[in-house]
Amino acid sequence: MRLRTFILLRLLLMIPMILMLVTVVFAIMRILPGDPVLAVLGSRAATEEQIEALRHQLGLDKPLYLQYVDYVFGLFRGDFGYSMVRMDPVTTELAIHLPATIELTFWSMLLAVPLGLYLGVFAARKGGGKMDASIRIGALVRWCVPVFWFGLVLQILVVQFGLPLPIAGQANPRITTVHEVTGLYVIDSILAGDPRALADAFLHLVLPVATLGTTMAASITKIARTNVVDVLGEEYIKVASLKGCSDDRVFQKHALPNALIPILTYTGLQVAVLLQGAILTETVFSWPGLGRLLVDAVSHRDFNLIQGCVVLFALVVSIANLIVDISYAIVDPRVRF
Amino acid sequence: MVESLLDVKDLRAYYYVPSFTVKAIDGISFGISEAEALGIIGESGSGKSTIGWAVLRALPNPGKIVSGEISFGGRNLLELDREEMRKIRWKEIAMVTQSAMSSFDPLMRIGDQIAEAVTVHEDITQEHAIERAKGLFKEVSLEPSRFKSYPHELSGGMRQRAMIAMALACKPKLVIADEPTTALDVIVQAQILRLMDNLKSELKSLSIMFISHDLSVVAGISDKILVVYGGKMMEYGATNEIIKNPLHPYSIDFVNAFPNIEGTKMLFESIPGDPPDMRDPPNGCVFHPRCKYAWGKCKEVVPSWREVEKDHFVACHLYEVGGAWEHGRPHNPS
Amino acid sequence: MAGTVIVVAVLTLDVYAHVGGLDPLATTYQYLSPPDLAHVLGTDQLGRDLLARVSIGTTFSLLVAFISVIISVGVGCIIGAISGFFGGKIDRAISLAFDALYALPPLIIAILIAAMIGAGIVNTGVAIAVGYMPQYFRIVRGIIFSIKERPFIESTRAIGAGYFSLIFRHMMPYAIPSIIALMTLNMGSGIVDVSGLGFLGLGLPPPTPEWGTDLGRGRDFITSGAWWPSTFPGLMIVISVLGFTLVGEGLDEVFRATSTRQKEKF
Repeated sequence: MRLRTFILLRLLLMIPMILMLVTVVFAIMRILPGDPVLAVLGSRAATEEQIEALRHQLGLDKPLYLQYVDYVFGLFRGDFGYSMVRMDPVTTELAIHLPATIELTFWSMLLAVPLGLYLGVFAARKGGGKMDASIRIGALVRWCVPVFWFGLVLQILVVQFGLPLPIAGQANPRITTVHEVTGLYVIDSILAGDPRALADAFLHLVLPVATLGTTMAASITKIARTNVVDVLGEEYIKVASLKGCSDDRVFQKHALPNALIPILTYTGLQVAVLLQGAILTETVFSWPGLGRLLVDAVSHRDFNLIQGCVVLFALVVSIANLIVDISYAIVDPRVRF
Repeated sequence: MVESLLDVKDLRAYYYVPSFTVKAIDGISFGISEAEALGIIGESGSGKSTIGWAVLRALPNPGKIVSGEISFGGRNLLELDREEMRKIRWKEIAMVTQSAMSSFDPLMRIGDQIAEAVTVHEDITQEHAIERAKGLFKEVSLEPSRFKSYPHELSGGMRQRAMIAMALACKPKLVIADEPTTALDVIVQAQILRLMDNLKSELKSLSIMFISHDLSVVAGISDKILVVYGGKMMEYGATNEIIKNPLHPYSIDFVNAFPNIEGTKMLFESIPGDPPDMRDPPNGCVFHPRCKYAWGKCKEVVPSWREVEKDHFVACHLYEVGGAWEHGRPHNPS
Repeated sequence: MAGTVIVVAVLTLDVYAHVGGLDPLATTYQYLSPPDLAHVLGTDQLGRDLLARVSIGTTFSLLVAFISVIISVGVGCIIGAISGFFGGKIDRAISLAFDALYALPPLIIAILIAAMIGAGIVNTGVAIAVGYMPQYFRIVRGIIFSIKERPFIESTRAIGAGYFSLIFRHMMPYAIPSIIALMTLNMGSGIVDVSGLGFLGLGLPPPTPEWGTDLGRGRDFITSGAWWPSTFPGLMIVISVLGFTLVGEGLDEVFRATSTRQKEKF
């Protein structure tokens, strides 16, 4: 099968998958107990008429399947519904908060992937020695540390030791008065040519990225090491060594490329974990991203916004999986069926 | 006597596992001359593959060469350091393994892997190495169009040919073939054997160590045969001798276990019993628990290696002074 | 293994706390006092002893995690077995649904469900369980598929075994080794998820002592220098998760070693 055909087929397969995801989210939202209308009206004493009026306005008096159809078609049009709490289309809210999350996750992965890869490969190379053991133990312990607690501890340390690092927010409003172009503060401050804003943006990134980045790095280290060790046990590695290749050559030309494929695949699949971690990290550091938006929506019972956030997360994960599948097909000559 | 290319003296290699030690080979000595093909036959677990790996000093991890000497071209391989051994590997002694399937890097094209065998040893450009590899391709009757294929795109037989081509890349003096045809179906097996036979005739100075459990396969190619069992040598001699006139009870059973299409029709005999537990091998002659002719002495004393007929060696008490066959093996012993 | 020691230690602490009469709900007037002789781990914003809260909190975190594992294993395995056994269109539909579920991060699903059905021990357990069901579904379905066609199943059928006993008494046991290690590891993940929900304010209702909730509450006081309300609950999380993970990985190694026996030809 040609590569083009494979990509096309895979893209087509995404559609029922996403549909299923949206359905699952919809089902959870509608089927579980909890009345959105009462939640929105809250403690405000409302008359029967007001409740019915709101219910009608939200379309909640229509039969379930109609609501479902409306919602799905809405999604195709780019309409994620309306947030009753924020008085804004959900799409707008998502768009506002998306860049902050992108900035956080980007820099976190930029830290996590090289760090995790290097440590994992290094540990595998040293197989069995003290360095290997300490890296393994370190990664394991770090993996067991909840991401939000790690962030809190960093904040505590900064406060206790009086370090000049910001512990909340994406930027200091007194320093950064940069016009937001992309929402990615690092880029925006570069575009505006403002070095103080740039420094400020970076400083604000330090703790959150350290938190989320090391969390991801822990699992990458583990998977990198396992895969390299597995590959090193393969027959063709033995043969390469037998052929007269030096240890370095065997490792770099034969072991690493073969190990890298499953490692990168796994890393791609970590997007789900990354988003999960982002939600918690953003909450700890008051980072204005999608994660905090979701938590906020939950505490305000903003059902449409909750639904919108989750659907967006699901979409992102699906696209990430798609990219992983396609890159796997490109890189591994065995996958062409 | 022809000058020996490879001379193995009293080689012992054990595998050390936490709870026990496996004596995989325990006192193996033999020699291979230039342009000679030696077939080493035995059951699984007899230690035959270990011999091949030991010569290349490539025993899998818990294995260690405990004692002995491996002389190759005048040098004792066991005394060389890592770098010197690396230079010998493939350039002088190459190996063709059983599983061609998993012996190639799945991410690299076959042609490149063969060329790699050349470039790691010789200081030639990549283009020249590719040229050489293409030539080897032709020698093993592989289509040149397959040069840029990936390993998984080739059939089992093709991969085996590619392995042979790769083994010959540096024009080694000795090729160790460890069960090269076991994983192939009979028709492909025949093709590969024919190929190896041709190569043997063409490359006049090539020596082969052919390791297998399949006597019919070994017999076609080898000049001499060494029979091993339980990590020890049982018999050694010219191929024809061993097949027509096997002396050791094990060899007799072994030869009888392979049906002869042309000969008289007889019942297909297998050798009763199980291979010995190499963690705790039997005392005395290692074959005695399964030997039809064993008696008291066999259980206690290890038989010595002696030349019973011209250039035909056996380790069996039957042929020693006082043994039942001291003066010759009866024809068709029951 | 080291993990078992840790787990046992944690459980012992918990039991001791209950037996020793530590009261996590007793408020005192010493708000936010740092660790000292009277209160070894300090007190929280309502003057409650942290040692009491942290050790009794063990019960809740472990209990909810345990409930979530039981539910996800139960539902995942049963549906997986049924789906795998009957195959066909039903199987494909169910698989698609679970694949979709698998794509969502477990915590997000938990947040979603917890937001809908509210707080409580069982509720939280269910919320967390849903995210992990697909794993068990896949494993059991895979195993059922592979042994479905084996002769011994046919013969059991021929004897007249009903579907129920066929699936559960004869086929499921093969899945047990793969599941046990995963269950233990998911205990660890469950604990992290419970505390995650607690941290976000979605877990157990106050004044229940729960590690995540407590350290979440403690956030407000970090800038004033009170580091202990957030530190110690978190430490407990790390220790208990580490314990379960070690046990889980150990079990994994044991089961993998016995199922893939490599034949080495000497």
